[in-house]
Amino acid sequence: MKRTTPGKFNKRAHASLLAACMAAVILLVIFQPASAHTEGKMQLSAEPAGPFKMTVFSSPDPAVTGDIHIAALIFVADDARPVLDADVLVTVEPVDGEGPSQESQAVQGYSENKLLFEAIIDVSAPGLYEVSIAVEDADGQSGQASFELEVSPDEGFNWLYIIPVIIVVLIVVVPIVFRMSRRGTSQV
Amino acid sequence: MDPLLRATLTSWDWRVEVIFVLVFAGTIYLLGWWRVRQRTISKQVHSRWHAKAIWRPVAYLGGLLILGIALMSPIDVLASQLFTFHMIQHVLLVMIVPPLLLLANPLPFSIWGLPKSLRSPAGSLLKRDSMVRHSLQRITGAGLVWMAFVIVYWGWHDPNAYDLALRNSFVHDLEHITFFVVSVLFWWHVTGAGPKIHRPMSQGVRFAFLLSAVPITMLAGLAITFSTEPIYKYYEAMPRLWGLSVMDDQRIAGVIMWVVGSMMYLVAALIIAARWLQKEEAKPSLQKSAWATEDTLAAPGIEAK
Repeated sequence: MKRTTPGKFNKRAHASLLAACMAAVILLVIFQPASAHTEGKMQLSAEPAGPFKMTVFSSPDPAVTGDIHIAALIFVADDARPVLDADVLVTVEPVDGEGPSQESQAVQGYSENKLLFEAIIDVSAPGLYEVSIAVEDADGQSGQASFELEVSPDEGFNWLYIIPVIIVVLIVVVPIVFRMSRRGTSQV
Repeated sequence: MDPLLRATLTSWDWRVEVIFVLVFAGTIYLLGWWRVRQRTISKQVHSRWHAKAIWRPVAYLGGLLILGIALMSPIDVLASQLFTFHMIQHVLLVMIVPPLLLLANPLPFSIWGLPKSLRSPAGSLLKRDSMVRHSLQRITGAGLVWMAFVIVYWGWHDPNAYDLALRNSFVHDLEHITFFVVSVLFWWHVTGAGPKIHRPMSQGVRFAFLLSAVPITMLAGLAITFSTEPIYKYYEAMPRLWGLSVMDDQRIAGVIMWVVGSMMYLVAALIIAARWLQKEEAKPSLQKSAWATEDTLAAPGIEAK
């Protein structure tokens, strides 16, 4: 009669759990939602704005109350040359006119992509907003473009993102625990 | 300095999750390599791992460094604006980083890097009779890996999938992870790194396996290079950096995939072929009397009756 010693079982169980936890942590950090490494949802795609064109992103996607990032790539309409020296102003106002409008200067320092002008605006109430981006370059040329943005209430962490992590953990842990328990029974 | 150049060179994306994984992987490996080296020196054990060879940690750290550059440098930030940068990023992830990491035989050293109480249990997950080993053996056979490589590589270059990856960071990460995983599995067979759960490939099969990857990258590269219209619409909405038009950008990206992508596998295949020939030459040759006398041979290879 051979029996798996508690020490051995514990070591194997600990190793399995450690592996599962590591896999979970790595997956969590890799699959974190709305990471900053892309600019967010493209709201305007090469939209004409006077002598310029604008490609504008908003994040998070979908937009929820709290800090909303508006990032714009601005380029000369004629040759698509990027504009790097300009004053860019972002205005967010409720479409129904109820509530205050907010303005913020978009700057290049916020984003990891230094070609982007980005503004962070705190939107506290859900609803439909009009976002306008006005640009004026060093030569005094100006243009403006806008889009509508639906902002929903922030419901906290989206637990759907945890599903792939749970699946991976189950794939790793359940067969190992099942196998260990079966082996333990057969050895008794 | 040119403002555009300055803006691009300063566009680094320091991603905590990437740094965490790279530092963790590097630390565990270095610790394991150091422990194995100390044991080899102190006990005068002849190690099959050639632990004294410094090239292993150099290759591994080089692989991690290039992985970090691919995922956090301006190459990644500008990948969403120029197809060329995105292609360079993919070449690094698929063709440069995996062989560098696997040449260092990372698994055994990483297990040695674990705390003592966890080494044996971690190793036991891949023991001969373990379920993990059996499952891994089944799903990572050379044929399946080759097919997965084709599906992943060509699948992500479909215009809809590629554009979706550029628009959604989750899909973008998934694209990179799948590229990286299938490439690691592909190069695992080529390098023969641990865990050695498959029958080792002979040099000839290894050579053929590497050559079989050339058409995969070459055909995709040719299709992109000679396309007469922009394949990925996303890039049409981007400013054109350094006066590079959408079509020129696409052609350069296609050439990178076609030439550089194919070249990596060809170079590796040539190295394998050279080693194979060296081994053949090192074999003792037959004595002349065994094959060159009129009594033994009527013609080369045919014995006289």
